[in-house]
Amino acid sequence: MNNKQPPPPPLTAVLDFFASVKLSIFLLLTVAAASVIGTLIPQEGMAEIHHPMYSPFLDAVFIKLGFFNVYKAWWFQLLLGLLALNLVVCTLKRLPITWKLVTGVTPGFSRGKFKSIKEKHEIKLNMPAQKARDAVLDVVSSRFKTVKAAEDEDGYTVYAEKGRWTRMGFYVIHLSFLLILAGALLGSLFGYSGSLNLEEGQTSQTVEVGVDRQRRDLPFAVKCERFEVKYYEGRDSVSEFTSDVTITEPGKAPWRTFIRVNHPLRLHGVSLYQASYGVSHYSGLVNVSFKNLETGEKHIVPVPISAQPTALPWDKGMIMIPSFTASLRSRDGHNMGPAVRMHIFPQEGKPEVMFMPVGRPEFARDVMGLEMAVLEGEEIVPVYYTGLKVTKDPGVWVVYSGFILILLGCMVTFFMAHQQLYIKIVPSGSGASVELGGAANKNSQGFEERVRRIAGRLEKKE
Amino acid sequence: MALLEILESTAIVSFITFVYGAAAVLYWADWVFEKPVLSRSATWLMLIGFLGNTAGIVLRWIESHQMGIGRAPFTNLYESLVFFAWTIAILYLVIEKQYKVRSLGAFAAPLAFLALAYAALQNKAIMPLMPALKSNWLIAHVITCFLGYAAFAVAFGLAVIYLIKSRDVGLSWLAGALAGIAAAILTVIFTGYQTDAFWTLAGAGFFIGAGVALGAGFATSAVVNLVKKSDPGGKGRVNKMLPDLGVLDELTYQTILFGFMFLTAGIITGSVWANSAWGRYWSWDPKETWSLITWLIYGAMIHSRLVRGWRGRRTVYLSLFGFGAVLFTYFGVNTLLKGLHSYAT
Ligand code: HEM
Repeated sequence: MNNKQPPPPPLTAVLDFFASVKLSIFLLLTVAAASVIGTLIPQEGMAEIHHPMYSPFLDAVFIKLGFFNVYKAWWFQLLLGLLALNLVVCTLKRLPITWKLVTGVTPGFSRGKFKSIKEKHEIKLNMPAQKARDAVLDVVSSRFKTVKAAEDEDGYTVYAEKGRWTRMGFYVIHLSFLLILAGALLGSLFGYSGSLNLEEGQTSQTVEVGVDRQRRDLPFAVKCERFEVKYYEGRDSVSEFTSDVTITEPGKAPWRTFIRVNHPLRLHGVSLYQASYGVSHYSGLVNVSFKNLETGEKHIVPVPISAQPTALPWDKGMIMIPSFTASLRSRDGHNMGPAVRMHIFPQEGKPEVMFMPVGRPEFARDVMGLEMAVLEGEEIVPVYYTGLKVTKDPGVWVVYSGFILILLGCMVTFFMAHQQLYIKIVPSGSGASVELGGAANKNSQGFEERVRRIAGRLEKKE
Repeated sequence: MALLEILESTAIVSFITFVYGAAAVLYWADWVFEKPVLSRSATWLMLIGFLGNTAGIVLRWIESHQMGIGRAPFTNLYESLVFFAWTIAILYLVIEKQYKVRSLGAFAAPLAFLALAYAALQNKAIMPLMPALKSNWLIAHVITCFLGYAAFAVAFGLAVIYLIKSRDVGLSWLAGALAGIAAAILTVIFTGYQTDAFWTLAGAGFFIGAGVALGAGFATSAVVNLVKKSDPGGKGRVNKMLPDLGVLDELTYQTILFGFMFLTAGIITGSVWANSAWGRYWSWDPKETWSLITWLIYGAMIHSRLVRGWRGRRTVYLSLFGFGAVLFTYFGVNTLLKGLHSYAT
């Protein structure tokens, strides 16, 4: 006799390969291993400079393999794609079978099946078989969804079943996993993430995206009215960063709102997060003294810190102080204290740019026959900017639905089971002998315990 | 309130450390002297420890409010370790009540003790939270993650019991080696061994790991060998005290499913939090990635049971391996790898 099965057609073999759980185990562990690499080798986009850490040879190899950007490497994406394919094929193959099982009619009382159950509990009840059946039905019907009783030649049989639908649970888990992958893909294809630094009083309707700082239009304009840093009472640790902003949507009246850490503003599919803050520049003015070296005459000129030039005395030209810094570092690393950047535009000749310490007349300089010194500043205050992170991710709700579904799927799959219970009631003497046996597709230990408890309940019924 | 002024949460927790330690000693003593009264008293100690642990956590919450910076007590390494001990204690007590496996106490109690002992080395000050940490998602994140971690810790204990019960010397050798590697990694971390030189680190880790793995593998197999020799027929009390292999296998699996669900919930709440704080639900930060790695390992293990014949031994391997990943996610990442979660050090 030829016992050999004919080799499966190639397509079936390929499908079987992609439907196999062994492949999924392999893929899950491979993705895990690849992820380990990504955490051991500093990844691109992180602040550290990694290259000097490795020898040039290793460096070249790692670059070739994409180890400096594992999660975006083609082979990593391929692994995820294979995982998805694995899931889809496996589902397509098995779903029809499960579906039939779940939606099919309740199986009858197959004695053969009952006989094959290994662990059975036998109890004796001190009542006629018919009453025993009623007692069984009473105990069982509150615990099982489907209960059927039948009379047969030697007594009664009761069949109880529940949770058949829980066999669908793992499809929910797998579907959610696909949803999460799909949502992530959607986000990476159609989403963006950029930053928006706004000074107090400044408005913007665009945002800078990516390393090449492309500008993107926002569906609304944001104006930063005020930026505030709050501290814990009596401490110097920050409790809150808040941007007080005005939003102007086309065709609507402007409205005001706050953006705080952990409380982003979500609007028209775009989210604005409080990410950072800083000093963009200073406002106020500095007094600059001038002494005419020919005549000995003196003049003090208040110059605002701005891009507006101010006239110099004696018609010598213009002066402009575009920026102030709270601490200037000299070339050898000394802190020179507060300083300004200064532009001098003579009536004739080339303009000059210089840094001058503030409030240190001993650092006076000669310019165009004038002795110039920067005196104290007045009302010099920092002007803050708020650093907003702006993202658009159309996939996030797909991902979140996956999150909710995967948890529901886990609860159903892990903690609920398809339970089937057979109870055989046979008259014995003046009472009845009751035999209980059952099966659950999961946690058979737990189900055994349950059957034992039901038996205990019945014994108490007497 | 007078009582509150005397009883500081940290003092209670230090005391509870010894209660858990004493429980561990009693559970072990029962294995050696085979006197059930020992493990019964140990269970009472565990219960006292658990109640004290709860009090410590609640009190710390109250203390933070008294300082005017009220915040949930789950936000730094010290607090998370105290909470970790709490979750191990409650999970163990529930399993003991449900399944009557006192022998598991010999693993659960020392784990709770070690968590608190390590907590004692951490900075215990109640600091105000930085703005990003002020989120209900963070609380949900910590609670779910630690319930998951604790379940994996208990599953690890069950796997070790499986090893002893199965009297499989070869398997215990391997398990010991795995545990040794985990221990070596932890030692490297605990001694604060930090350097930018990747290869120095990897090399030292390798040699220490190999050495400790060898030792641990040898020691574990020796213990199992001893149990086997002293009780050749498997009729001794220790052997009877341990549940059947089938029960252990099932129980380990159920515990892992429980852990898996909470780890899933932990990753999810963490990423929802990240999305509300930083505008990204996933950024491949090392801590995040390691929790995913752990999730993938346990996921693979859940599937391994679908392949025929992959029960028992393989469940044990993966349970040990997975717990190694849990430990690394929790301790290793903070110290060895840098990322967003560095607040937790
Ligand atoms: C990569 C492709 C995957 C394939 C082909 C696959 C296949 C399967 C199969 C065939 C089952 C059988 C369920 C049963 O018969 O009871 C299953 C169950 C399950 N799968 Fe997957 N799976 C994959 C990925 C995943 C992933 C990524 C996860 C999430 C971690 C996952 C989680 C589960 C869970 C939790 C169960 C339930 C186990 C149980 O019944 O207790 N699977 N999977």
